[in-house]
Amino acid sequence: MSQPIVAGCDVGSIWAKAVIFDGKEILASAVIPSSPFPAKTAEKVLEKAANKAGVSMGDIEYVVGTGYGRVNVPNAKKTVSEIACHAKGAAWSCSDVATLIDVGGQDCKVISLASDGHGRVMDFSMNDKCAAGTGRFLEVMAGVFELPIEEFGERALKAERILGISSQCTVFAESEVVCLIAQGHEIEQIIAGICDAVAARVSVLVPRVGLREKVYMSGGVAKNIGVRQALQRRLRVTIWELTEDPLIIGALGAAVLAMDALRQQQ
Amino acid sequence: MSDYKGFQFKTYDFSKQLDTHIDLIDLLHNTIGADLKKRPENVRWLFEPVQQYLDELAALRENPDKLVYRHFTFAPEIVYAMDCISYVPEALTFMMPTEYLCALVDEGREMDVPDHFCGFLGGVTAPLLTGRLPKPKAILHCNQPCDNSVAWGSVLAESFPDTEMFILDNPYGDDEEGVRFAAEQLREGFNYLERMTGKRLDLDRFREVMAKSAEAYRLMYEINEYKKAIPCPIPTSSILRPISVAFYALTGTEGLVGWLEKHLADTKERYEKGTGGWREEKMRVVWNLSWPIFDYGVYDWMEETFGAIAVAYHSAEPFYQPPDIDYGKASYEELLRALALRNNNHAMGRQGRGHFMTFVNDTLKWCREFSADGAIFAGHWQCQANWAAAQITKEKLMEELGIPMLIMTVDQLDPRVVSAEQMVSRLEPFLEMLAEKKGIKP
Repeated sequence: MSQPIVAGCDVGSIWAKAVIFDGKEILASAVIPSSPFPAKTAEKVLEKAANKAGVSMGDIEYVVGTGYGRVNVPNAKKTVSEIACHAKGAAWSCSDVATLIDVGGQDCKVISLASDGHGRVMDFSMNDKCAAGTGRFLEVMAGVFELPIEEFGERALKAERILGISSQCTVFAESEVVCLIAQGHEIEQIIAGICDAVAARVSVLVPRVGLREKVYMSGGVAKNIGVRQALQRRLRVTIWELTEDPLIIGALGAAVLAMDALRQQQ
Repeated sequence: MSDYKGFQFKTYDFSKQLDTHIDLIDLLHNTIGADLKKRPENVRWLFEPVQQYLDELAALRENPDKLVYRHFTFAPEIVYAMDCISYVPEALTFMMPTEYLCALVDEGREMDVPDHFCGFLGGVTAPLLTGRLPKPKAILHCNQPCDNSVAWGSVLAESFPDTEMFILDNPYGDDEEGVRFAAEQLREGFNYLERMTGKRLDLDRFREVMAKSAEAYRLMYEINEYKKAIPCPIPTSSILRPISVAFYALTGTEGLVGWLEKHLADTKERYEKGTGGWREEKMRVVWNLSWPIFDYGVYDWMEETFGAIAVAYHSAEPFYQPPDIDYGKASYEELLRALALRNNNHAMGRQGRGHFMTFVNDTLKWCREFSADGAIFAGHWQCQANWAAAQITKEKLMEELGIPMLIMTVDQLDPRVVSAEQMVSRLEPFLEMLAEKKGIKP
């Protein structure tokens, strides 16, 4: 008898992600930019992942939606918060996750996981209505330098010193960065300051749940080596890398939960 | 895990040009009246305190000499003891339709008032400054529970430059000295009210008011004993507004005692039948600080999706035991002391003054007594004093009771600060976590 196939779909503010899963392995994943039409975006990303997995949408027996656009995921039998999904996905990827720092496009969360390796959430904290400390902040800053966001982290590592960005608001920080450029500071040093500013905003959430090792990172910003290193410096811990792409962890968790739900249903 | 696909929170049309120069009491009467008509007749009694308070305010048109402005954390007993009517301007915002509230907040901000006033204070600033609210005979203000309400005193002063204001300095300590400190000021407060209103304090009336206040607290404690049962016979969410109006505005009145007697009888009956709220109780939370007055649907969503019942609301629970004295024969000094004790423990005033451990311990007490599975700290964005206690409360709850606390920001009245959907985005993972911990399938 063939394995049932399920999917998780995470519609975020910048990227939409989908994972096709058979309970044992990830058959395929897909990531596309989010659009103002979350239902269409979800449909597209699910189709793309299904195509990559070589299955049809009809073959998918259970879909769980997550992310800010979760209620718009077509055919989703269930919606689950990003926090629960990131915890499940991270624990599936690495069973020793104790603290997960998820920095997404529009928010950041610090999640404390139970030590049983099942991705059970013990506590969490989230940022409040502020773009600083999120992927969007980095995007805005990358726009100032006309740099691709993918290069941002690497450029930060080349800095000999980190310039302080004192503004805690994206809009004011942008003006501050423009001033620093005008003053002739090295771009790398400014970028390192920006990465550090994000790390500063994220790191204040950590004591609210308590830091327990091992610490991992998920979400798009986990790919930014500049932010990752700044966080390590501020938290004085090693931040480990998940075995899966950090961007798809929410969708992966949704898929894991979809499989759980399907099994319970059966 | 949850799904709020089918759940519709309120939507607002802020593009409408509302006439905010209307009579606010009429507006509230009509709004609350229309709302009551939609509810089943057998539960309408629940909303009597709101009606009673609005009727009192409406009666001021015939008796303008009885009009005393009172800050919301100043115990209303002092006003009732003087046979006056307590008008809490900021309480109007509490009962207002959201579109009006937001229009009034915006109007206030156009008048160069500080933009850090929350919806509660900001919503009534413009009507005050433009003379749309009646002129009081006296104004009782106080220095708690937040910087904004202190600053708001200047709006009152500017609005009524000819009316001398009495400002109570709430004591820091909870000891006998703190009670004496407050009692001495309340003595001055009575002198002030006599001077401003031309009335004399009738000791028998003061006795009667304090006796009714103590009786209200006794009844509330008794109701709470029943509410501890599982399932909770009457979830707090369904009576948040009336219970708040009751304890912020009506203590010391016969109307409140009568309502609490009905409330007790109903709770007792439901308890004896084992009847819970409108939905099945699977878990229970203690709700701290502010709740979404603009959309009670948040509670419906919690109950419907997770069976999560708010069993106690931190800021409208009884916090003290009235002194055990013979109110019928009590001396002026004894009554002053009783009023001081009551005032020091007024909801929000108690949490806004003194050491933050009061707030922490109150939360621990309610969570322990109500066997809560979790607590929700819905911190009003401008209640700075309480925010100082947020993290320590969370840690103490985990340490002593092993239960988690969600910390989130709200404005009780203005959904433009934090919407119902944004609240749900915080509540959902928290309730998922509680459900998983309890092995509940939402």
